[in-house]
Amino acid sequence: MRSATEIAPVRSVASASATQRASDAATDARAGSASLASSGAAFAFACACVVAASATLAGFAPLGLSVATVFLFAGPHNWVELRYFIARMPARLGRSRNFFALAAAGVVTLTASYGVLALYANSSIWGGEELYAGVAVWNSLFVAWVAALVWMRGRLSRREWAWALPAGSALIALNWLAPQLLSLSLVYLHPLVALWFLDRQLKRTRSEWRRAYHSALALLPLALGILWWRLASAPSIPGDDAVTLRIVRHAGADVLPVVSTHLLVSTHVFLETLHYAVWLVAMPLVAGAFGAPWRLGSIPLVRHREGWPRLIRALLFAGAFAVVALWLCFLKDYATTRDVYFTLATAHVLAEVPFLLRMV
Amino acid sequence: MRLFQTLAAAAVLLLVAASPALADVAVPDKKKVEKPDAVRSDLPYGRMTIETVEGLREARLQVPRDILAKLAPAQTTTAGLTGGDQPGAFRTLSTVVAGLFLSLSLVLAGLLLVRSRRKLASRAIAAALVCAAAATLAAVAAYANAAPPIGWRVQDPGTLRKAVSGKPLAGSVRVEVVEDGSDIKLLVPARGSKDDDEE
Repeated sequence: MRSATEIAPVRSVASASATQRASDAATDARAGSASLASSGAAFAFACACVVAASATLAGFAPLGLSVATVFLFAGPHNWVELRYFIARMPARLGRSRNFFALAAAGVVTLTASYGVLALYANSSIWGGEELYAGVAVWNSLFVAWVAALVWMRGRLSRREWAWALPAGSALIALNWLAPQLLSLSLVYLHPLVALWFLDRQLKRTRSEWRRAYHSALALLPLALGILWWRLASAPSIPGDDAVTLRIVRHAGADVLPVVSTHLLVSTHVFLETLHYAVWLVAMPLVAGAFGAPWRLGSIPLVRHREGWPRLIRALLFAGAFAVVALWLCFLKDYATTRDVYFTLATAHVLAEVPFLLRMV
Repeated sequence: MRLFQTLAAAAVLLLVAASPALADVAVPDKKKVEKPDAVRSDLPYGRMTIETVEGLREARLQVPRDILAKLAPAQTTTAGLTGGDQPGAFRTLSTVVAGLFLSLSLVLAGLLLVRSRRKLASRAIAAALVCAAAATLAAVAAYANAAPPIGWRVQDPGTLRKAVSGKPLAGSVRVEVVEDGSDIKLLVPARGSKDDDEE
């Protein structure tokens, strides 16, 4: 039996060792949190640089930036979105079956009807009244679909989201008073949805970057304010070639005739550039798919025994093929391809709604 | 009995609400009568200068192309957007549909409010705050004396007034569309030019 005096040094050594371990752990934690903080700061700095560079380019060369970004990034960002949405799909739908069924039905129906509307708009079959009514009906269906999805998602997550129904009805009412304004607001709001997606993804995988991201987001209204201040009385963009007219009209020149088209196009292309930057760089980086998007092992629909690995691989391969085909079509006839792209791209605008709701 | 009372109360409320409606008043005449002092914010605007040019033989009106583009008839885009005023029949239809959905919105909001009585106080406060904020914003927008956007303001004719002396001035001009600049220019040959000398 050992005496207390013999045991004491052993205890003191053990205690010293534990203290050392705790101290090391604390040092590691401090180093880790410092590293995370510095990486968060670096992320915010990169975001701020992208915002500043996009706003500057959009202000000085709106047409050139619009042509270049749509040509380069429109296809790839759709592919990345497709991959992201597939990765967010659960292998077993469970209670969300009806939610996803309504979402899919809405995406297919609304995209198809939007295409038909665009065809009629470019033909001489419909006059102004029919077209106004067609746009108003499409907008109403879209708002009703979104309201229904919000309500269903609220029920699934046991939240009081029934307010979406009266709010949706009020929005439909406003839409019938000025349908072209709701369509234009979708054009400008859609790029901002990407920023919301990024926030939700940060919350899931990089929550320590979120505060820095929010700080960087504060630059967005500042950049918009400077753009509007500098371009409010700028002369409209000259040129009546097919590409210029399409870009100018897409930005709302017909709907807001008293606003300088330079301001409209700059604002739109600035937001679009941010949208592309978020989907092509920030989201894969934050979600852990940056640099190796072809690795599909972590996707539930591929990994799970009830998944569809072959279908998913085929879908992504077809998507990649479509991206290359889009580039070739842009090279062949930029103006027409741009029209077709923005009509079909309605599908990805719509698909964002249910997935964003799932993440909120 | 209770259901009957509720229905009766709703009917009375409806009658009281409907009594001041001006249902027997004739539909206002929607024919546009353009008043001379009306501000036509629907028209494009631009600066105009009248210049005398030495050596010019014909008067020339130069119109920047971007102003002409704004005057072009509304065309449809692939995004389904159209410009210009809404057609008449659509305006009537839109008013009806908008009224229906606005009513539906109010009914649904009322139902939700009734269903969530537990949170009635907080919701009522929130609704009151929203109403107050909206009213404040509306009041600020109405009375803050801020200038309307530049396209909606009365366009100041500036020193162009000096160009008229009471009796109309007339003459032929060449109309030219120019690519550069944003001013509409009326170029008038200077007095004492070659043609005047010949006369």
